[in-house]
Amino acid sequence: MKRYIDKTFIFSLFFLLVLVFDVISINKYEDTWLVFLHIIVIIIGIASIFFYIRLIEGESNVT
Amino acid sequence: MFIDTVLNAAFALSVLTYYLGVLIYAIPIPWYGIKRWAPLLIFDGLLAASLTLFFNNIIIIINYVYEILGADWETFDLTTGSLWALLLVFIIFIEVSLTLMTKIPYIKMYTFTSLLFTIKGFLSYALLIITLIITLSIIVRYTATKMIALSILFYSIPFRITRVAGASLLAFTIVFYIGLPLMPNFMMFMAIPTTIPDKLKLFIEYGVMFPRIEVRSIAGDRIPFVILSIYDDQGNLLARYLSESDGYIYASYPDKGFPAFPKVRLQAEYYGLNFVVSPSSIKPIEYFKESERVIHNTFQEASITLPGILKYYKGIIVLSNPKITYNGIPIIMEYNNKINVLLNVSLNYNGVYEILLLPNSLDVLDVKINNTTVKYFVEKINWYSNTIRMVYAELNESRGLLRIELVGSPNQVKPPESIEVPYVKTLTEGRDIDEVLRQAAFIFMALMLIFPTSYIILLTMITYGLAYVLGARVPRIIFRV
Repeated sequence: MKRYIDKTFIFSLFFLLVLVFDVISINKYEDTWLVFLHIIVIIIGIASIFFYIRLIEGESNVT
Repeated sequence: MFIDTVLNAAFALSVLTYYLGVLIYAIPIPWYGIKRWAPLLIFDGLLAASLTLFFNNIIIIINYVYEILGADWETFDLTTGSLWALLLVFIIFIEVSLTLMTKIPYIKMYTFTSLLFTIKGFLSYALLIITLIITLSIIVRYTATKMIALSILFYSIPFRITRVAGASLLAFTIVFYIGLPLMPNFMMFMAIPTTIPDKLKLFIEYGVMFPRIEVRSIAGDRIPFVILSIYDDQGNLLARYLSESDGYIYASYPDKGFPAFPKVRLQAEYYGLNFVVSPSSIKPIEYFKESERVIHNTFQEASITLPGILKYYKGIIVLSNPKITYNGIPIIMEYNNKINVLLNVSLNYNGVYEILLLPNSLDVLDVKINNTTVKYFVEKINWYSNTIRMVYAELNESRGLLRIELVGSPNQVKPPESIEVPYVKTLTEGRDIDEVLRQAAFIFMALMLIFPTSYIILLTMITYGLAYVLGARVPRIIFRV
């Protein structure tokens, strides 16, 4: 577990948390595009975290 | 609300930038060069996110700098607004004058009209510039926070697409929000204020006259190179003039002038001797007569007499000694390189008397009274670059014809240089009156057009520099195929 804790990983999780709180606080009826943008960013974020874990596991090392 | 939305989107976009960086870092795509984007995007994402979170701090810092530099939007409004109004009034005035001049058939002032057209063109440009600055100031002042939020949004779009625009907008807002209200300070600093000296107040109170003054001997001939000093009641020197080779003092040139005080005292100097002037104190406004035609700028005419000088002839001064009674005016005859001065005198006491002043080119050959040679002395006087001879004679006859024989060629002495104290020039602290006017015109023109334009150019240059610092650099090519 310890090897996952590096700064890129921590920032990724932190931003994900902030985004989730953000999307809750947005007025969904007025700023639909903003919610949409947040959801896209969250999806890409989850994907990036997923691939980052794979990178650390050593399963993908194409550079 | 707008700012909230924009900042929210900016944050989301900066996080997107970050995730894209991480994704590119982690994703297994075999494309050479794409991996280099990863650290760049991660860095950009973090920078943009911190900018978004520091939005309020940016505003506070800008306001802090604005305050410590002493910038003030109200002063700016007053200055630019008054300039704008002034220009508008001028243009309207010129427009009306032009209409009157060109439409009314019997007023034909072509030169003046063309001059007015030129001034109108210049003023129109100035008005355009001032209007531009006012518009810019309104945009910057009322949209500064929105523009900063928008610039952060531009900054945080992934792959540095609008990073240049964001940095430029941020730099523009910061520089103009702080710099524009400092424009009045800049203008006031550049246009050095001209204060009115105390002497100038007297000038405004009493005024100045431009006379031509004739300096005469008792015999009525004009005397060149007389130094006439003009004093006020308290004995302060107001002006000092030298009569020209024709025996006139032209106090009529614009930088000279004669102080029109209620009472001035006059004193003359010639060949190093002080002479009483008749009249010794005058009231210029009453004493000077209006000249019939204008010669050398002359508006007034006057004549003064030096009672101490009996006659002037080609540099020879026949002195009028108060101890001697002169019967009639002296006669001066010139023949064969010799000059005879004939004086009909009556004497009350025996003694040594001052008779003549001569330039250095003349020598005394003989002094006779009633054909009897008398003793005489010659004293040399240095007067500026000339040597003058003063002739004394020891006379004891009670009455008779005094005859002084001189040898040599009479010629005028060299006038003393730079002894004049021009009245108007002294008042304007050594500057010519036309120079002062030119300076005033330049300051007017500069205030209207040159300073605002140059200041805007200056701010634009600073904006460019700041934008460069903030990252509006062309990114290096990263994709390679």
